[in-house]
Amino acid sequence: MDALLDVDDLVVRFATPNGDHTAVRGVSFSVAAGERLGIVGESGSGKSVTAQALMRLLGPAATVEAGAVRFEGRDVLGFSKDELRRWRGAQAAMVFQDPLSSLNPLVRIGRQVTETLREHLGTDRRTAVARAVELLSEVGIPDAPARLRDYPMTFSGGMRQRVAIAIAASCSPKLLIADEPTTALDVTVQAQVLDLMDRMTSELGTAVILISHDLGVVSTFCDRVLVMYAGRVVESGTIEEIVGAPRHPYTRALLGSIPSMTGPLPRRLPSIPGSPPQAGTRPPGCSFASRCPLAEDVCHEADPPLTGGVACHVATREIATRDTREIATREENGR
Amino acid sequence: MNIVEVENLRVHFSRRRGVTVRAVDGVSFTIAPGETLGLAGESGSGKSTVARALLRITDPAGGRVRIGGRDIAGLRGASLKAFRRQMQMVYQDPYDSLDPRMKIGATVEEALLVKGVPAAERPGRVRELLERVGLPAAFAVRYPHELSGGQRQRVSIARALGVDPAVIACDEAVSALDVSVRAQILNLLKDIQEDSGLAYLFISHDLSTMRFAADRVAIMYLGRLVEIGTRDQVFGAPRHPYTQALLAAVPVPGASRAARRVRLAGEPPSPAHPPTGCAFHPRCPLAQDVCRTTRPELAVKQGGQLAACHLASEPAREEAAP
Repeated sequence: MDALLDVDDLVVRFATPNGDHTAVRGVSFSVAAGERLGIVGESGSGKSVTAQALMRLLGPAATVEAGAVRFEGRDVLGFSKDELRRWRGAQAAMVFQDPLSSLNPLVRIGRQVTETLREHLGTDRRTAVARAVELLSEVGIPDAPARLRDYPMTFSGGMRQRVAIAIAASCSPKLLIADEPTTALDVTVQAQVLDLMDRMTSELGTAVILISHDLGVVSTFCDRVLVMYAGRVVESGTIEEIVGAPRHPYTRALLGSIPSMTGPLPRRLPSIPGSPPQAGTRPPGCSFASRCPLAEDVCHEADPPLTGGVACHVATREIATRDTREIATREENGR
Repeated sequence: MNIVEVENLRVHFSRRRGVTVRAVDGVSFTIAPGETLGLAGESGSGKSTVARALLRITDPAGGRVRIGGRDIAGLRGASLKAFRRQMQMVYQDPYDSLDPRMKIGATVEEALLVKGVPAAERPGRVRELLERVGLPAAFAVRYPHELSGGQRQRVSIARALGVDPAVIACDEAVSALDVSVRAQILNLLKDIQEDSGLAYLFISHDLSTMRFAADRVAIMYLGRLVEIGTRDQVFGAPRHPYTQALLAAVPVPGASRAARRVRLAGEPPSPAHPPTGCAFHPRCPLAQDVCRTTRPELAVKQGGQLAACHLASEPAREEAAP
């Protein structure tokens, strides 16, 4: 199947007073139509910058280079201003952690929903208003006709995120990028918003890239996951592979440091020493090496490539050894 | 003896047009030395207001708070200062609570000054405190912006420890930290407690963190406790439908999409206009007539914990015996 979105070797650099800082270092992935991809990472992992680069939302301080970012085969990085305006919102929409960053606080909710419809679909005013009421009711805004006249500030955080999703869904986009959409919400409201995104994707066939620091959220929503660390993808696989049999020491440690909701608890949580590397200096070799319990000399010298879904010298070697052993056993049994 | 005793605590805020918001409406609990009481609930439940009332940042409208056996209402001047040496707070964002123009060492030293440590002993004590929270003594000359989030939170903890308190309220103290750093700070808080017998009031909306950190757990909804019990009682067999829904909503790594089911519609109502009867009844899947009219009080339920629900089963007879 052809990919809806194809990202090849994405690199994002920011010019800072202390020189260039590379926030995203060669990220490649693709998303099929209707697929749900999760991108998991901590602060400074480059997950949000990746999303913003794909949507062409980064300012002039950022330099985006890539082998290619293709949306249905078209080169997104080559889009003109006009093409970009037609593409964003209609074909690809984005939802943020704080819905106030996508809603204009000075414009009534109704106008913000109808604007998108009129701009992208050329809907006339009356039809757009009727459709706005429908959309807001669908996302569970009570008394939608009356609320069209309200400003964003009069809505609760959960309600604002519903409105943002309603706007994102209004033009039936093929791709939705959701950057920590439930992080600011209470856990019961979070479940409601994830359900809403479920409905949107299944009814409209929208593909979703869900960006989150929370492996639990990603686990209950996505089909496939990329784990990012210090600007790179360190592991990728299906959600079952990543959560059930993580191979990268970082993914393992990350999962291990989340206290379980059932069963016995350790007296101390397994933790990762140090903190994720911040912008600026990055030693040669694997970025995780200084925190990694398995690090060897080679890890401090060469950055491991992403091979077979994992970027780790040690894990790759273990897999290779195991495969050789399996082949040997099979040959022996065959004899 | 309990180090913290809270009895029927009420905190009210006046809004315009004479509307009174009962942010905390009759909350009672105790914390023993060396114990961690977790206080969980969604935004607006009043959990942070409880902590603020315990520190006398907010004055209660009623009820009684005793810290170390002393009623803290009406404390003034020197006695208020003395009380504040007993109880400290660690906030969510250490960047907001640390003075950006003050070196780490000076920030920690300030606490020692409050405690009355002689000048000659202070540098040595600052070093000890930094080391106790896992920071190199050399960090004393750094500024907050030179530190990572986890390191800043360690500084907040060192400062809180500086006055040698008996209780620390941790208000979402690990919520803003990266997952990999959060575990370090949770372990640090446990180590300090085991060494010193500190009591914690641990406030968090993150229930998996809560399960690790707390010995006992209280669940708050709209200004009132709806359930309180040991960690195993509350997490293992929650009795209040709100607690049950809250725990069911936590997305767990490895849980499938099918496991995510919305148990609760809507959002918590405004504390300015609380529903009649049980405040949870408009969202409760089990609500009956009695729930709409009569407010349930906390009572012992099956399993031994307290829950405020008309429908939660009473304990079996052998459980009720002391």
